Amino acid sequence: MLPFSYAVRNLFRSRSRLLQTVGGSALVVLLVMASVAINTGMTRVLSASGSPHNVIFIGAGSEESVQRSEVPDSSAEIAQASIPGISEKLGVRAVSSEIHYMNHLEFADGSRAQALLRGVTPQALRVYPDLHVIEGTFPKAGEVMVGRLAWRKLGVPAEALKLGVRVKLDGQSLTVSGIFAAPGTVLESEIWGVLGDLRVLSKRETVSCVVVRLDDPAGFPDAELFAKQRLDLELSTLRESDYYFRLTQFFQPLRVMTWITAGLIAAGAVLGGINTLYAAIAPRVKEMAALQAIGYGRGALLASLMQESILACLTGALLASVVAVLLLDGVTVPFSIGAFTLEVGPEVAITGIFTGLLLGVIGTLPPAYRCLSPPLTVALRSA
Amino acid sequence: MNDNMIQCTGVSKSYRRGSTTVTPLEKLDLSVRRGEFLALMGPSGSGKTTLLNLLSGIDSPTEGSLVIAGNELARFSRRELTKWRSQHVGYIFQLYHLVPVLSAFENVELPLLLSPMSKKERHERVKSVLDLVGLGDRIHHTPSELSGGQEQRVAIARALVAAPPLLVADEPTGDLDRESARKILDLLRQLSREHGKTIVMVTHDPRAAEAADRTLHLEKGQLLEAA
Amino acid sequence: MKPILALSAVCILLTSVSCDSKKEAAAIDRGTPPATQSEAVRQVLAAKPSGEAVAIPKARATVKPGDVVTLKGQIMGNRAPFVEGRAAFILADTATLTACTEDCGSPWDNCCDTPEAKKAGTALVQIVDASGQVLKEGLEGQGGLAKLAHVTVTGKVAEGSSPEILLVNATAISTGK
Repeated sequence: MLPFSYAVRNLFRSRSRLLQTVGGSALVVLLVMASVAINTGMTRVLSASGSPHNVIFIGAGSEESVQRSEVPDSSAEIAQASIPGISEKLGVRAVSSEIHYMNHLEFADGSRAQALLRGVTPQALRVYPDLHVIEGTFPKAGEVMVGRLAWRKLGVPAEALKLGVRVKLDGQSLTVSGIFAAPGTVLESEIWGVLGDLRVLSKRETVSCVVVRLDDPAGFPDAELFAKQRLDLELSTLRESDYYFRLTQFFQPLRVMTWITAGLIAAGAVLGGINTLYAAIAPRVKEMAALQAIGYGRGALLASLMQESILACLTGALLASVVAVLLLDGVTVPFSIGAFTLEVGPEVAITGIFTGLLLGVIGTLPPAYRCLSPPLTVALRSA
Repeated sequence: MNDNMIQCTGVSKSYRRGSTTVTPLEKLDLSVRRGEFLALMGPSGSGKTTLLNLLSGIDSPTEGSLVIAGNELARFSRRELTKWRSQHVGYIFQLYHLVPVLSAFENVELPLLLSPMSKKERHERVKSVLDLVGLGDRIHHTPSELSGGQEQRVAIARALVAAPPLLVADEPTGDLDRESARKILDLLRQLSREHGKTIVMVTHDPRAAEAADRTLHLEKGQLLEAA
Repeated sequence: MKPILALSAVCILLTSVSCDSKKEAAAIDRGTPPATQSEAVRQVLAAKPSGEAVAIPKARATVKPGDVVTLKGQIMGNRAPFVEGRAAFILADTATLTACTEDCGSPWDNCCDTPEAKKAGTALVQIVDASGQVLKEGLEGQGGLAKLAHVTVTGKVAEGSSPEILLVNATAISTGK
């Protein structure tokens, strides 16, 4: 085997080429890390958003879009009385009637943004126990409470949704009475108002859904049975986790696009990298032929070339990791139904390192083949 | 066991160039004694480099028998040839072909890294060989810091360091000035006379051929004794 | 040479594994139908329906809780006509509702029929225990009961039934036209 120092010193033969290789692989690895972070972030927030304890009763046929769903007003009462195993605390059952409404919010400075509003009753807090009001109070009539990340999802500055600020919805003025947190879920990007207000604003006589929290997730069949015993209410029953799982599937094309874009850019960078490696290795054909004449096999030469390439690419990967941690970690990314935070965790880091390794290995192969495949006699003579 | 280091019998080499077949060597016979210093001369295209490549195990004959240091090379696979070369041949190129990023010391050490020697043994051997070629004081310089003559000495040291019985040199003085060339030829003669190395040298310079024990001319694939 | 190829193969494998999106919120295991049938279900499936079958829309309008009624229909009327893990299924009137195969991926949800027709033409058939609780056992796959199966049921109209909802506690179920 050729000494490792040979590979290291070869890297420094041309500073500009080294920078190109390191820079190119850093770019590719950064892209891959960003894609993985986006993908896992989106999946994480969607899967955390749905609890297996919760059952959503939604209008039959509207399982894909809760905003279009129509559920009779009386459903909550009837469900409360009929379904066994509903969580109960201090005599209050965890049953939440909700109206989901999407419309434009108008801010004090005149700007508008499309917001997801949820009209609820105080019982909602029983159904979503991980949701806590961290500032201010639960809304009363004429008030709303906003999720901690709502400003990010709406694309407005955080001050636009501070406590006490007034926003307009369909001409109606609403005051921000509180801010809530629901860590890791899409709920944090929503704006919650009073059910009665939303009923008026959305001009509905029905609610969008009824969400019930069961003590034991295994009690789900009882909820389903209830819905089928009351076919007159025309309800569909879904576990909340299944509802969000379907949404994850819905975002599959988006995530595929993320990967395809990253892949295309990466392919360009890889080809550029291979080109750089060609330029680095081609002048060394004679040198490598001389080493073969001395008695080094092509395997040993290939290994040395790979050492060089992998070293440069892993350096690029390291650089990309540092950039990722500095620039990507903690960034909140909004998407249509919520927002998620990017996490540069072990999965992202490991993927980055393996990408660097792979780049080093793959990038070496074409130039190495070109340099090592000619017969020794030809290589020794080459210009 | 006969005294010949090299024994070629009926050796031919042909290869394809595009649609035609070229045969630079045809049914060649050659014997070289142990410790002999042989010069090969001939016009360009006469096949002397081809013959050198065969004798040094870099290439294989298309036909014939090629026995060097007791091994029938014509039957060796590529891998076997590579191994055989590392133990039996020291190659000296016209353009030295030293690794530019390694020092003289490290360049000379390269063939020894293929052997099971310990680090201490390797370093001792490298030092002694560099002393032998007269470069004891420049061992940590890189090739770019050495003159042409010094580079060729490093190349010769590298060719010697694994103690191969056969040295093969392709125009070793082709790129050197008269004075340096003379010194290199003196060194080669010393290696042949005092250290028993068998040397086959290809050259186009008649003055260089004078340093050898015997000169053969290669013309149209056939060997002729010098006048 | 070979160690390098092996290393490359390992790298490619590990990279693709770590790139795979993690398993999304797995739906909680839906449980297969019980291997053993309970005695109560077996009895109901073995018993023969009796009496004249009444069309479901007519039955809804005329029967009262406690009446014995015989219904005939097809298991359809909903995307999931069976209740998983419970002894209950939706029976639909074949005269007013049709399982259309053209547009629907799942013909048993009668997407070609109007919601009003579905409401009027369906009933829930259930098997209860002595205290009136629906048995905790799925019926799909038992005794020939499957989506779109033709079924005849005799049973008692359950409490809570009204012209808007028809619930029948089955005492006899048979499959086949």
